[in-house]
Amino acid sequence: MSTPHLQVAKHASATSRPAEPEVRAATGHVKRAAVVFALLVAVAGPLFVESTLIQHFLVLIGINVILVLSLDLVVGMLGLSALGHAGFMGIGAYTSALLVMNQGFSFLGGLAAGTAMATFFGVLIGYPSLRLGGHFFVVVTFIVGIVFNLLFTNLVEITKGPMGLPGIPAPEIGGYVFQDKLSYYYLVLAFILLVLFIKWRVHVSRMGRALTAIREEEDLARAVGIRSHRYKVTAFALSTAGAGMAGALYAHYLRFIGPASFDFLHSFDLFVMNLLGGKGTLLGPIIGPALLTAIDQASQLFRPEPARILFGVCLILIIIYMPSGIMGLVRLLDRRKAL
Amino acid sequence: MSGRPMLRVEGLRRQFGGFVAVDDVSFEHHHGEILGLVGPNGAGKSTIFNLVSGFIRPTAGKVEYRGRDITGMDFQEIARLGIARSFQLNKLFGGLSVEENIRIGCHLHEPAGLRRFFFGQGRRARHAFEERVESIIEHVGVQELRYQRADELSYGDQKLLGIGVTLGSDPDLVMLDEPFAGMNQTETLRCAELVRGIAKSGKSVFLVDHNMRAIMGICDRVLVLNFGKLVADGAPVEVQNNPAVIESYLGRRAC
Repeated sequence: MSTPHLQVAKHASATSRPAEPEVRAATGHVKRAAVVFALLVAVAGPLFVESTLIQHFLVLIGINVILVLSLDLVVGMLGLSALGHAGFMGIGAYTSALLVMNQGFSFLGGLAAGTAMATFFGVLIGYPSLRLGGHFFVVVTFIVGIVFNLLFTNLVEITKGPMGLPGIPAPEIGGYVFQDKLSYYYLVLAFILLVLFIKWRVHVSRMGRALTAIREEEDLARAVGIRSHRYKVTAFALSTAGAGMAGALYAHYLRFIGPASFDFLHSFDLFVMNLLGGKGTLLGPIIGPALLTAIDQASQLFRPEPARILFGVCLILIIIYMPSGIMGLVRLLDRRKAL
Repeated sequence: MSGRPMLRVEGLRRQFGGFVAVDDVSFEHHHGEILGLVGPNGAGKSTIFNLVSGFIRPTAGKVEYRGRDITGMDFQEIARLGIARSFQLNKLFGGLSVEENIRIGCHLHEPAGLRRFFFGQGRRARHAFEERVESIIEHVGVQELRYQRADELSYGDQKLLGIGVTLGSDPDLVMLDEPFAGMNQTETLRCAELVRGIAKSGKSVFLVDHNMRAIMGICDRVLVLNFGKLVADGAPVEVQNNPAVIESYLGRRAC
């Protein structure tokens, strides 16, 4: 049976090889145990965290996890770089915030509309630009991210421009208001699980196999009848949908959004998080944001500039020494043990 | 052969800038036939392949498949109609296992749909799919290599796997671009056997190659191309003794 394991072999490392069934079965138990453990920590862990500052970090990490899980559909599954996801996040954030504040939408209604709007723009931009070669696609996403940011800044009548949108209400679902940080954490966790489920299905379904084929050798994929462009647009649309959803969660958490939250630097951070954690994996997009958000937030307490430099250095080191991120290292060790 | 041809090519022409790579080529390919395309380097063989399979578009001319005009259709849509092709430099999904390569080849036979996306294939559907994959693995004879990475295989095995991938969609017309290139004697025999088997199972085979002996040995009919023009079309023996063919390979006799 196929596993995401197999499908990312190319990116895992040059020495990795598709595992034989016995090896896979052996690691399967370990994997299942690890998943259950991680889930327990994610659910029960924060209950023991008293500091609201750390709870705050956890929520931010959670939102970044959703963003990177989504981004990885493009970076990991399609093997393309995308540097405009903060822009799509902003689309989701502004759409949801404005509809809830001015049009009387419920929180879930706003979130759904924000997600839909980001998806719409994803299709609009992905459809033409995914016909371009890899490098041109990166440039397009980069520019689109900047253009979105300019729109947030300059459409003053709608977005209130650089002053930002204050007074976004806290989410309310069925009469319960997610006011405190801990409850918001669980709200975000629920959405992480939703996105994780969809991403897992993408990995193991027919679509995942088609995306892997396109990433490995697009001409041959088309030769066996895979409608590559359609799959690429679908993956990109799913990815921007996730970004929009994360944006809505972000807006209703901070209760204030401004263009600065969705600038190019954030897109870049997400990309670094993705590479650090390990692209094309399920766990990597959770590890990467957790690590880098923690480092970033900790360093922000002291000085923000060195944090930026640290991110840059991180990116260079990752690209040179571990192109498949932390998950790549984990896998390499796993293989060594198995052999 | 009777009835409508599988493939009918009419007045096919392709120009790259001022260079005419394929010039007014017409031929027919009948059901169940092994058709070979030979010619010196640069004669335009691969271009014809690319034009017929829709990988590139012709400047002029028409390609008909089972009576349907497929000129200018998207490459993957032509593949979905039942024309599968391999590539000259043998493209494979290099980082994936042999088994996974074949699975991808069977893409069109893997049931799709939203329900399956969320809840997975049913046991029966998955079983049928795996059986199909298995039969192709056995057919091309790569059972022992199934867990190896495709790019770690020997050249000959890579070629066989390439043919296996194209067979995955169960095409009616199999187009093989230089299947024998770079193969040694034993590998060539094995590959020729495989190609014959494909034709025997009711598929039409269209192949390009430099290996004259192999081509002449297995083809029912041979097309000879020189400078983008068709110079001969006939049974292997006929073609071999055709003065135009000899000339295109050896040059004109000096008087």
